[in-house]
Amino acid sequence: MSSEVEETLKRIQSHRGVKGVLIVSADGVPIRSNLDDDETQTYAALLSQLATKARNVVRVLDDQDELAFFRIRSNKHEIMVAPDPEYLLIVVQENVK
Amino acid sequence: MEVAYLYTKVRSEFGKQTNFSDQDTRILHTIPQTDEFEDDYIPRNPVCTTVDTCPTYSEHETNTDRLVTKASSIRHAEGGWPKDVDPTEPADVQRYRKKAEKDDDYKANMKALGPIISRCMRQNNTIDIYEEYFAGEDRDWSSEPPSAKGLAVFRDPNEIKRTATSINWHPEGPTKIAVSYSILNFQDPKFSNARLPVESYIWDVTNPNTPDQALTPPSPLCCLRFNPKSTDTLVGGSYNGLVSFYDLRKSGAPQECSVIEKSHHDPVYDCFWISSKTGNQCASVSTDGNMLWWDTRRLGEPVDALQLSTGKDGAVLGGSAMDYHKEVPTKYVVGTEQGIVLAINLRNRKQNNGIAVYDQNHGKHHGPIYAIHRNQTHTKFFMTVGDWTARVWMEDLKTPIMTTKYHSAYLTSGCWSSTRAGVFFVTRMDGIVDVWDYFYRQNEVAYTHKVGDCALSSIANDATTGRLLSVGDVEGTVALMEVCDSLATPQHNEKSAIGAMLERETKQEKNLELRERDLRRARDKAKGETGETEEEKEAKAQAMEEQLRAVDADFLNMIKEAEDDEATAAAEE
Repeated sequence: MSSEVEETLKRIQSHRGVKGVLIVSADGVPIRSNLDDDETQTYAALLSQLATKARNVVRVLDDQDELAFFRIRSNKHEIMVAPDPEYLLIVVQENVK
Repeated sequence: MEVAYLYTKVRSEFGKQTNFSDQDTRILHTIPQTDEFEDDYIPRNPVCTTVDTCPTYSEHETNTDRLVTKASSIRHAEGGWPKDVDPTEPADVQRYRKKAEKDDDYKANMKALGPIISRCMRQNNTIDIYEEYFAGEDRDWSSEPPSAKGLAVFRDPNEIKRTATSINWHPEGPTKIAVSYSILNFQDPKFSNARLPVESYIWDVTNPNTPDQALTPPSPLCCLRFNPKSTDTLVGGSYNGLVSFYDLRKSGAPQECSVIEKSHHDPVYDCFWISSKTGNQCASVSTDGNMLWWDTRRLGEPVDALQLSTGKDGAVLGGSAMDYHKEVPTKYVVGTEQGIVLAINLRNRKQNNGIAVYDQNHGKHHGPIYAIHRNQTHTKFFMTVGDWTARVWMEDLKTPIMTTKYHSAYLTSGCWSSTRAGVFFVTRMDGIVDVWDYFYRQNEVAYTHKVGDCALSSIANDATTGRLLSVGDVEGTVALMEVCDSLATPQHNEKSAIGAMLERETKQEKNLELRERDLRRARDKAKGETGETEEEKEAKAQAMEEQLRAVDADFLNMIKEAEDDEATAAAEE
């Protein structure tokens, strides 16, 4: 089963323009990352907060609803976050020129 | 009828509290109805009364207290770890992660999340869903009337109001401005105050309440500039002539400062970072007539010095404004207190120290030049602001190629737009910013914006977007304004049109110069011809003089003879 996770991550990393893949627990603890420590910490701290906030927003708007996914587009990157009640899968992809 | 009631109170009851109690109604006195005064009744005629159909209103004014907000933040970097795990201990972290990865929940969740992300990434790689469909489409803003709106006001927090003498935008984007504050008035009464504040400030444009950082020079700063190569460092010139260097990463105190003996002897009116390998070189001008070059690592003495004079034995001119553009790295243009423009080319030091003096007659300003600025797109051309006009010059020509009409108030500063080739801004003594748009018309101001009641002193346009304009006044207030798109977005073929216009004016000025030279030559020639006749005239005059002398002598002889005759006659008698 663990190998399947590895496989998934490997597949994600093989995509074009992927700069980083992070797995963060809901508390903001980085579990896996292929970025350096500083960046990992920053991403984990900031995005776990944002994910909590986004989840709250969706919940308040409709309490039957649930946040499924969000992406942040910036001039340089796109940060994609797939949330789960306990974990976050974060992928940072560089923009295609 | 006497209504009197004797009220007595015992001394011991003074000051006692009153006890009220219920009582039956009592009639103390009645006045019966009477006809006695009926005859005295006179109806008033006419009776005046006023009515008003409008409801009455009253006006009342209050002003709420100014709420000063302060932005603060905390950074939460490492967190969420369980109590027994120390995040600084790599072994603990490793163990925790291993455990987490072994969790079944984790595996299942990751498997579920994987495809969601994959889908988006594949989508991103296949199509650009954020593609700009209408890229390259020039919107024509020219039909829009020019406008500007105030965004924020930055007030000097000190009690004593000083002039905002210079404003410099952060080179990497419109996020911060460096403003220098000092008093330039001669013997201003504020100088007698022993506690004249020296601070100058860096402001964050999003926070007008408190300065981002304060700089504490030894004497108030007259000019202040960010280093374009390392944006945390600044150089400033003080009122007493010192040049000082700051590093915002360290503190607001000068990291390096020049010494009085080897600095300027007058306020440093402008300083610029110049292109050099190390990015540490800067140049400064002052009204003491010197231009000095410095290395900010060692400000002990200037690297180079130059006296601003019109010729070898000519007058020394006090530099009051300077511009340096990195695209023309060897040529400095300097505006002087005397209104004369100088160009300094260090490559050409043999000829009058490399100083080229521009027109000293009709072309010069009638007063000090307060601002000099190269056009950002056509760097051969520059603008000077002084007296009531702004003039546009071409580097190679001695006379200005274009001059604005005389404004109704003194101009105090000005700058070109950093994005539009034909637009420049000038500030006036009556608190107005005038915007000239040469692409639209050259004879009239395109747009006038009143900033405040007091005289303006400095202006700067941000280098990246060209939309933000900061205007400083003599009270130390800096107003941040945003100009509309039509004044900031380059118009279709504006660059070439303005280039052509400036070239045309240059050609005209050149032709005029040529014609003047021809005329002068013709005059000289004519003078040469009249020179011959003058000789004749001189000869004539000499002949005349001789004749006169002869007549004079004759007359004297005659008188003498007559006297002699008389004398002999008298003797005979």
